Amino acid sequence: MTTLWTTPIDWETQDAITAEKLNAISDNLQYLMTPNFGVATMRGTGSNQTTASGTFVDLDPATYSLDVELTGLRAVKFSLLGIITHSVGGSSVRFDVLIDGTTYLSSLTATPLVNGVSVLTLPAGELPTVYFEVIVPAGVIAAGRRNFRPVWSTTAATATWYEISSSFSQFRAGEY
Amino acid sequence: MALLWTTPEIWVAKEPITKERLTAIETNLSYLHAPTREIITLSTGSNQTFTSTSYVDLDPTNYDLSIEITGDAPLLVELEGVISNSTLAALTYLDVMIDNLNYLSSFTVTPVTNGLWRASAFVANHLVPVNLKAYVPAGTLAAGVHTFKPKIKVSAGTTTWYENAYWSQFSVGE
Repeated sequence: MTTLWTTPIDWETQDAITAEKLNAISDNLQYLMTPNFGVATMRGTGSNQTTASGTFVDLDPATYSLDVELTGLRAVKFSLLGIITHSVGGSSVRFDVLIDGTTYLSSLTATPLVNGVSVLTLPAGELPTVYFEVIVPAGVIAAGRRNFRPVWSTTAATATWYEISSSFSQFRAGEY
Repeated sequence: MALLWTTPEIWVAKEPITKERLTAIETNLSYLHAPTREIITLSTGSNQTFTSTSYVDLDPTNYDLSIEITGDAPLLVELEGVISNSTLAALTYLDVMIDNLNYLSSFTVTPVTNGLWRASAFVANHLVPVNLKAYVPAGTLAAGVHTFKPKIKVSAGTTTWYENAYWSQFSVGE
């Protein structure tokens, strides 16, 4: 079970020092050591993903969909690292993150920014690594269990995200 | 020397509250305030060049890190800098070797082909940023001292890693 943060006690003179109060300190220490976040890593054991969609669609929900319980009291960090390519030179690939299936990270609304949180224009056939990192201040995303999924789109033709045996990829979301 | 973390106590009613147990709380607070992290930053070094098609050390004189970890928190491995390659469409690959044995990309002695980071020379000799950040979940590496070395290889041409008048940084920490 995930340990969650509780607001530290304001101690008063002659308060009883109980096991429960001391354990609350222990739980908070443990939470600070390992705040809630999820990491999905592919070490060359997946299948390449493709999209020809001009609007954002899931990158690979079976792999990268993360459920994370948030306290709502700490900043939330998102990062995505992986290798992409495109069948048509000069085409762009865009990335965003969908929160709870309804809200895009780029806009924090139901309508994403056109270029999401990251965009890259590629020469045909090249396979560079892409990486983005976004931090959302504490309190913006409400406390509770949240679902985070990377989504992507392309301006033309077909983009490919590499998960086959040659490639490493990683999606991370949570408090830090 | 880094203060190291100890698992917080599970207190039981009527247990004595000793100074050792209270000090353990203080020690953990200090660790959380300044968790273990080693950072190497260069901007006045010598540029490094590479033509090897198998992994070699990026700059062992500067970038080899040794760090003591608790094993109870996730690790973040970061490498940032600038590269170029002399040959159009040539590829540069970066990975990190742990304890002179396993590659971070695969956690085995054999790295995944594309490593942690792969950069294409869209234009020969053009500068390309590297912004590699990889997480290692808590418990993956045992508590204790571990070494981390960035590694590099190329598909063709000569790759330059810039350390002279360019900013670069390698860091590992919880």
